[in-house]
Amino acid sequence: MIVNRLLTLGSSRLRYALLPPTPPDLDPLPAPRSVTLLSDQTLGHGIGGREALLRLKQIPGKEFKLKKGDAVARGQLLELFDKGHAVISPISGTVTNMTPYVGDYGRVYMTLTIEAGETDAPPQTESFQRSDMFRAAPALPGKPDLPKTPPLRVIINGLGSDVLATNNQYVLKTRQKDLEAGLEWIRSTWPSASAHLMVVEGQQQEWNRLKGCRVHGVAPVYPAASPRLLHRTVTGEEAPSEASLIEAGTLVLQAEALAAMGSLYATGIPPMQKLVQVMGKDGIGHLISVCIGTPVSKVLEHLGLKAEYGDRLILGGPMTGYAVYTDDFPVCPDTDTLLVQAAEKGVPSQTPSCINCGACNRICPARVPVNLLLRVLEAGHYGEAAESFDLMSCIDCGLCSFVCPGRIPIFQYIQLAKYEHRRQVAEEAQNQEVAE
Amino acid sequence: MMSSATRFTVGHAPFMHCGQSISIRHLIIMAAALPAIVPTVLRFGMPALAVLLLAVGSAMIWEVLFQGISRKPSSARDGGAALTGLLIAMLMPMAMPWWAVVCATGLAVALGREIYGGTGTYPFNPAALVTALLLISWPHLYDLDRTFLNYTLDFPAIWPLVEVKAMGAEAAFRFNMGDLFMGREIAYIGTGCAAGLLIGGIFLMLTGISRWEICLSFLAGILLAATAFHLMNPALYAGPLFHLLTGSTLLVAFFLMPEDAGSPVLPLPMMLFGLGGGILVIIIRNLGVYGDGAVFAVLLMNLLTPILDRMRPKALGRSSWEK
Ligand code: SF4
Ligand code: SF4
Repeated sequence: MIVNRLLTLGSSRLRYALLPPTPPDLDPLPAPRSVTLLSDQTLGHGIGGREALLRLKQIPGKEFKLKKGDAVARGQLLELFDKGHAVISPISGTVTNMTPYVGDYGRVYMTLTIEAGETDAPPQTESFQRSDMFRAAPALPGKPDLPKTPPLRVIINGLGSDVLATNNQYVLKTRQKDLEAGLEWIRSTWPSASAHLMVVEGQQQEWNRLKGCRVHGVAPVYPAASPRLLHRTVTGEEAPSEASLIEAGTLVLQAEALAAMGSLYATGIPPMQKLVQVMGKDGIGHLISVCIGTPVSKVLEHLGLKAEYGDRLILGGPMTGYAVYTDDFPVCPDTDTLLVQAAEKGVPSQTPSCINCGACNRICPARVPVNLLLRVLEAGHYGEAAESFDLMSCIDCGLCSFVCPGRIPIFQYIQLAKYEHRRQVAEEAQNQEVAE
Repeated sequence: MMSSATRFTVGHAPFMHCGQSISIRHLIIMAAALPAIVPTVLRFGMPALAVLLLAVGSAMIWEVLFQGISRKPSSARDGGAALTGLLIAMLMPMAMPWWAVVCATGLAVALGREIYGGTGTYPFNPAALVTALLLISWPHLYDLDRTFLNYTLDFPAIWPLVEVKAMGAEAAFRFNMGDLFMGREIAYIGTGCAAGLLIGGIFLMLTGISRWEICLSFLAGILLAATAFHLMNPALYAGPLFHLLTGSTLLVAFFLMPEDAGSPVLPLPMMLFGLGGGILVIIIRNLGVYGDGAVFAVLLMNLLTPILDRMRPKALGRSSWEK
């Protein structure tokens, strides 16, 4: 994404990993004996992680719709509250543990551990209704985030979510039936929405067989497959940065998510196998199919990969993912990549003053004046950052940190600022309400 | 859940880096200066080398000293002072007395760099700042004609810019453009060899370390303004090519103007910054009292950077800059 450099000598262009023309055979991991599911209990923007955690802790177990010792069936939708975030049990068994878990930036989850076993839970007989799709979607592989209002267009991301992920490309190559069923669901649910498939540039011809879908080529240069940039490729316009993409009428789905929806729609059974690109310390990539909820340690064990004290376990890609502290952490619906990074390969952050080299500005795909933004962020002026320095235009690609010669954790500053800014705005809105 | 014995290191995304670092950048810039320095050192020998080494060495010692006083971590020593020292020396005649060199680097490190907080924080290019200070305080030290009294040379031992200032544009014909290009002229240590500066400059532009928008628009500014003056009064003002090859034009274009801290980083501001700098250089040379006032032009443009920085494109999905 580097622009206006005289030549690209020594440039830091990042490209998406591409799948070889003949996709590899997958060897699926056997279903684990025990799975851990993360049920998202994050409250709105105005309410921090602390409050969400307190809420979880203060409700005694009996008030949840689910409790320890409950028997669950394979494919059953599990919810803690009515209208809460649902997870789907990939195995039949018993809930053996429920513990809150705190993620980054105010995200709070309830972890549900399910041990496989003979249970008397009734097998899931009634098939899924169309409206069930909305409840089940966030628990499906690829984590489709379906809006309540009909979108104008659905954009299907056939590239990766991060530089290493090849799951979407694999799905495009191998699961045409599911994709068609998914498109069918979209067409019947939102008849007025147009569908757009985004594939690697030069491969458009191959996909014309997918009915009712306009195919667009995208140069596989990171972060061209980022939702807002896909929106721009399709519509030729930029969605307002103050509002979500949905408000601009665009729903972006990973190809894997569409295939999962299609499979659920066609068979009534929610698919629970997630495609994960795994890379160990040797730098060799493996694409495998894993049951959602499988602990990371099991995945590594299966592939014979080692991860030791001090290494990093990175879920969700090297540019935008997150590092977890334990290998008990489960594979989630959106875990496209699993990376083991040797301790010495990490990028230690430093905090020298910005030398104003402009590398961040030049690489920023959102034209954010990152060098100026950084100065207000260091001072903690988040409101000013959003108003005058385009904080909210950032599309979270992480390239600014990637190129900064000072190794300043710019991306972290930006994420923190966004979180704090949203919180401030929501709090002000609440105060306003109380005052009125 | 989440209770296994092995603990992993956490951190924030991204987990990759392109490998560039501040000290590598400084080293690359210093390496890019070598093609311009080596011919001079070969031609004039020890005096030139002595000034260069003294400047770089003393700048580094000053840096240790001042950073020690302000209790900075050793990671703050990133080669920035050495680079400043090198650039200062490149802007000095080789007859510079040792005490003036040490004073200059001390001023540059203290007043130019550390007082603002070190690398990246200073509003003015420290090398330009100190050269300007010395030019004002001790103008006789920068008198090039004096420097070369002891040499017998096979090219005119006259300082081109001053000669033209005193004798009018005709004097320019006494200098062969080829000589000027290859560094066969009287000049400061690092400004003589236009060919070497060009090699280093092109290298810096290709690696993206010197932003080409600034370098090229600066040269464009020089050419435009010099042509305009020349057309107005060909007898008084020398032509554009002469200005391009003499004095510190190329050194300023590739090493001082695009220096990170004091220059804007967005395309339009960079162009204006360079263009303005180039025009100012010619104005100062033709109308001012100094033969070569390029460093003053740099300082003036540094002053404008915060204003220029405000001219920026709308960010992704912004309907207005400020709501
Ligand atoms: S993370 Fe945001 S600010 Fe940084 S380069 Fe990407 S879009 Fe720009
Ligand atoms: S890349 Fe880093 S050092 Fe360069 S301008 Fe951006 S924040 Fe400053």
